[in-house]
Amino acid sequence: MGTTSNRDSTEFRNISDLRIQYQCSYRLYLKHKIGDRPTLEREKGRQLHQEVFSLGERGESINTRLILAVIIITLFAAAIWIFGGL
Amino acid sequence: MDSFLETFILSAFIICTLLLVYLLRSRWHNKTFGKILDAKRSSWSIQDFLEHRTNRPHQGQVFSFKEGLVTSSTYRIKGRFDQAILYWDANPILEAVIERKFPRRILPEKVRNEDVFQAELYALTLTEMGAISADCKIIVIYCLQQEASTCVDRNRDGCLNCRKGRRFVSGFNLNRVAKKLDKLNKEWYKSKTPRANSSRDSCIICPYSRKRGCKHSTI
Repeated sequence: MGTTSNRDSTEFRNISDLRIQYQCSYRLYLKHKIGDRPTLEREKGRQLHQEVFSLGERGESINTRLILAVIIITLFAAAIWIFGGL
Repeated sequence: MDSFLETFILSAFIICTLLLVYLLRSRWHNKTFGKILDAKRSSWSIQDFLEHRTNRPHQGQVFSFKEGLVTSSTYRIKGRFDQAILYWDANPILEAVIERKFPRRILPEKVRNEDVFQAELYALTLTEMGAISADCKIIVIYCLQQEASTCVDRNRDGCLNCRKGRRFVSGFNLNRVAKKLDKLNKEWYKSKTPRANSSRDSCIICPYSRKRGCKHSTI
């Protein structure tokens, strides 16, 4: 950008850089000129990504099991109420 | 039947029905979230799945892939996605690409275009790697850092879905994304003058801003 030398068109661009460029190409220019400036928010976000993913599987499988358990209890309660009253 | 027992059973039935409605509401609102919740964590890498280097998975079984490295030789881009949901139906079908963001203070009222674009690029790369993305959904989830941290600290379930977060769903259009990418690449490779986005929202989050203002004019 600006008057920098021609960029190597065979290099692979990072999607996170493309995101920055899409939002503000000057910010990407500054990142390459001055260097990356990690913020506390970004570092915390990165950390949370890892922590949340490590818990994620448990949450998803328990949700399905919980739904099945509730369905069974509901049907059981309905059966008792219907047939118990007969 | 004893009237107390009858009342108790009826109450249990009503409570369970309401609980079921609560748990299933996300499935009713959006079929895609239902598929995401049912998705099984894949034991294969995304490359193996897309290149058919696996035992043939069950037809229709939905798989979740997390933090997979993807590369596109055609578009010359690479990255690591947050989460991708795929299922097998003679070919690998890309159901959704999910991007999670953890803002510090405020949940955005509407989705940020750059976050959608980022997820779209992952979808574009996955398409080039062999996935079929005709009905792919782009999902961006914003979850406050405090909310996510509390969930993690308490070792609660469902932190990944961030119940108090905001979710935005949009469709994926390959041609539209390719055009956006082409425009950015023209700026990059032809070394055009960078343009600053000096809106307040943009400068607040910019690590190069000075007193929350755009400092592009000072360089």
